Amino acid sequence: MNSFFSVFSSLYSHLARRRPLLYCATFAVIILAAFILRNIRMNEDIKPLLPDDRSEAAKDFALLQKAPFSDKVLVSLKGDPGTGKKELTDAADMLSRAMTPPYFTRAVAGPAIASDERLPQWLMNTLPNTFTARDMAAAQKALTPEEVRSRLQNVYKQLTLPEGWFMKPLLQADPLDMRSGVLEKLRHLNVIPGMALYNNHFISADGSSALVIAKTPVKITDSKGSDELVTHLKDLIKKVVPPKIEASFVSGHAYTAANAGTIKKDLYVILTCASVAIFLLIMAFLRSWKGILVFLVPSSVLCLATAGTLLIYDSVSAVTMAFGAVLLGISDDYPILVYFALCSKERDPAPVTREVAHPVMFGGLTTIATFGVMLLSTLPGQRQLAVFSMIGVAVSLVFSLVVLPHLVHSLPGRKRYVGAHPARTFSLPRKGVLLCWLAVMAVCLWQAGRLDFNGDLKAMNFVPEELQRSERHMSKTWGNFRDSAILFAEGKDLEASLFANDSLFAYLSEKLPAAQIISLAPLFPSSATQRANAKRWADFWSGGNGRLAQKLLSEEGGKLGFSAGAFLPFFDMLAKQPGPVTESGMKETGFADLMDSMIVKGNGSVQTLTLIPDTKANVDLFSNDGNGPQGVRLVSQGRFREIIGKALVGNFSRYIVFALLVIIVSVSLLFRNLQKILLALVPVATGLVFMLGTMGALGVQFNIFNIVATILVIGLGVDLGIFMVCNITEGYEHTANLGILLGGLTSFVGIGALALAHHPALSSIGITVLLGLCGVIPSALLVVPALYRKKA
Amino acid sequence: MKKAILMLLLCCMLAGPPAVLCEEAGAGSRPGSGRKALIFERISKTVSDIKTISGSFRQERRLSMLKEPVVSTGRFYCEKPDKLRWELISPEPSGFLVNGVTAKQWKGKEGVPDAFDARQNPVIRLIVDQIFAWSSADLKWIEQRYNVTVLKDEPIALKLVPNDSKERRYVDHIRISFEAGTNYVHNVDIAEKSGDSTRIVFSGMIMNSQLQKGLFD
Repeated sequence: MNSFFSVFSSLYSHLARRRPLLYCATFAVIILAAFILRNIRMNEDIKPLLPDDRSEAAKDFALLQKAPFSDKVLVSLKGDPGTGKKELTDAADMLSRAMTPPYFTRAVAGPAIASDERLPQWLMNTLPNTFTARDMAAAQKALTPEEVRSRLQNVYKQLTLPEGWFMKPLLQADPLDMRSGVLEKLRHLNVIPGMALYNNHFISADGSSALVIAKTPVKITDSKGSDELVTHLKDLIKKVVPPKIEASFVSGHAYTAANAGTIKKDLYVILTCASVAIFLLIMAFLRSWKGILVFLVPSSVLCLATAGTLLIYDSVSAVTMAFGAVLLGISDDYPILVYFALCSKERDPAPVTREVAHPVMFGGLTTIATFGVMLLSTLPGQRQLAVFSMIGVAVSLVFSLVVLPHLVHSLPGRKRYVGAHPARTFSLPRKGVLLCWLAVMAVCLWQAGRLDFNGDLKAMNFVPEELQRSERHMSKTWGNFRDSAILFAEGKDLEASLFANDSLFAYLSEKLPAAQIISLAPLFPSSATQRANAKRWADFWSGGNGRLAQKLLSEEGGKLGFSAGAFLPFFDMLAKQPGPVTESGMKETGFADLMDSMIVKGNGSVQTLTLIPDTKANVDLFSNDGNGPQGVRLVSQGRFREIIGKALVGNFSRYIVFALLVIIVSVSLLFRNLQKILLALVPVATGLVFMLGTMGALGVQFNIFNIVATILVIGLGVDLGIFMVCNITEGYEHTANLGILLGGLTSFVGIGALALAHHPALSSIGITVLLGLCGVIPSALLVVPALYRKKA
Repeated sequence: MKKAILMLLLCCMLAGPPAVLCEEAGAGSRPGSGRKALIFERISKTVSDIKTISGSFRQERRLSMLKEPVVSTGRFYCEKPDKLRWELISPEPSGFLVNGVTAKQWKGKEGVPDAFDARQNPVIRLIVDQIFAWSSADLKWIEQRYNVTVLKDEPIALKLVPNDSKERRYVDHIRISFEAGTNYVHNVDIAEKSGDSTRIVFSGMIMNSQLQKGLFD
């Protein structure tokens, strides 16, 4: 093993004669990295943080993008008390007219139902094609003298009212009010539960708000486009909506823009704070201008790791960039140790470099291998983070062991540091330290049982107060329609998809109240179902029921004063063969927006969507019940949360197992002594247990972001463990506690900077790792020496 | 919900181009010439001093569907330039009111008024437009909207044929007869395309009386 590390002394001697070349090469590499970084493209969207394999979560996420409101912006207009519905709808009209390309392709303030005779025609035509067995039973009940009389009395009453003038053709064609069955089915198309209609406008049930629904071509993952869209919409509202009407809007784009903006601000704060704090710490401990050389290593590492990542990926995730602060904190450990080694004795730097390479290389390689575990992740963002960190640590090792010794040795100035002769170990009472450690571990292990995994991606969104208010208003006024569970009935073509949708509707009708099912099936069934319905209709009326209806209408109508031919259009309608309900017919009637939202075509298949409330019971209907219809897939935020939660637990277990294996193999190779191996693992174990215990006690959940904290704590813990064990067992003066303390502190502030972030994803990483470091650093500095003495 | 759906259905069936309910009164305009101009002048003169008008009406609908005509009675109140209350008392209490840009409609004696956009209900629009146009003598608007023919000079009788294609689908023509001497509208006959017809006869007209407060709220 020592022969391997002598490479570093040979390399030092070799390069000592070619220092200008070494400096030039180093400078060139940094310039090259800076050149690559000039085209840096950062993305702040959530996609890299979702599984990209063929897992359930990946499929669900792809399907969630097809949800009816995923490409829509919803603007709710709420008037002051006293604002009339008309003022609201006028404002909605003005705003919808102003919402034009390139940001909006279509904006509507109402359902855009056909404004001529097509709707009643469609309604009557739809009757036979949607005549279910249930409708038949209802029709049968209507064919009694009492029922017919009551219905004809209503017809008479309607004729006396102003609208009766224009409803006359409809009343003649449908005296038995069969159309109310079709109107009832329209409920199933009401996607927004809190919506009523006022003069063909969307208005809230209490009449206090109007709604504008706009379709946008801007992708929800496009942060720049989303930001422009949000700014444009705010300007439009200011310009078009009267001051007495308050407009609030919600869309995924608002979240994208808010998150992107916050992450950008956070990045600035995090990287600046981390850099300044680490620099000040290094300078405070080293008390020499050569501290700048040490600081230059992590700074260059940041630049090179980002450039290296860009060579592999098209863009760098904002979370990866924020992780730069962590990398700063980790990658400065190696130059710090090398610096301390070179300072500790006035002897030839070549053998010192060889000696220090031993713990530094092992620590660094173990950290790289630990980060390598994240390459197994199904989340592309975590894999990118692994690549970024591995490159960073590797570069730091090279710079620390190959370049830094020359700089520190050859440049003028003293190599010094604060407290040049520190005690080798802290001399706290050993028993007290161990008792405290055991007590803390016991409490933490107990509390770790309360740890929770949260797969809710929304919880990791930064939601500004304005957006929270809008969400509350939208939910209170219009209902929780954006959080419905979505069922995809898939088929190779529209007919197959609609047929699956028919089966789904029949299945759901047995399990849920009708009002909870949003589906096209009742009004736009498959051709096969339509044919069956039309046959049922024809059979019903061609039997005795047709004659019975004629008799009852004639007798009861005559009593109420209706003329003999008053209802001839009804019997004409019964005699006609109805045309099918078609997609184009539905669109022409005014359901175009709805059809476009509920029928998704592409990739050689068609999916018809059904919405139901996203409750556990409903989700379980499709996960536990094997009798569910074929070709139907349920996707919901609740189920997605569950899947991501399970993926988190899986990833977490994988990380723990593989990372522990990696570090055990690594420290075993290094120390080849059970006592030393166990000692080196103490900070890792303490850090993990402390982190999990305090998270459990404080109610901090593991999420898709802070799960990487596990790797960091393991990596940092094993680094400090190796350094400390080398220090106390092998007498490496250069790895004195001061260096370990400084390394730990720089990691602490680098990672701690993340906790300053406003974005919950970034701050959750920072807080979690800080909790882990609170266990790692004291255990490395206090517990390892205490345990060692005991064993020795 | 059902009510909303029905309203939607109705609106969709009936929606026509927005009517001008509260256009500036066109008093003083002189459309046409000759005989028609003279008649319009007489009507203008009659209504120019009117601020409020109220009275009773009897509506008789003759429908092919019914053996006997449907007769309804009610009262109306109008305050220039843009307030109208139209109340059906029998056989089924119902009505609507228009006050500037706001409008309300109710059904039943105790029915809670439901705000609506009067522009979107063509029947109400027809009644409101006619009453406001004639009470303010907005003869220019009337000529734009209808092809007006003078049927009789004394008492005045006019025939109006709608120019608007959507209105023409339902209404063949409207005949308006004025009271001899006073030149107030006495009865309106609406002939539908289907052959059905409606006659509204006004009576007990009171001009410029103080109308009860809250009638238009």
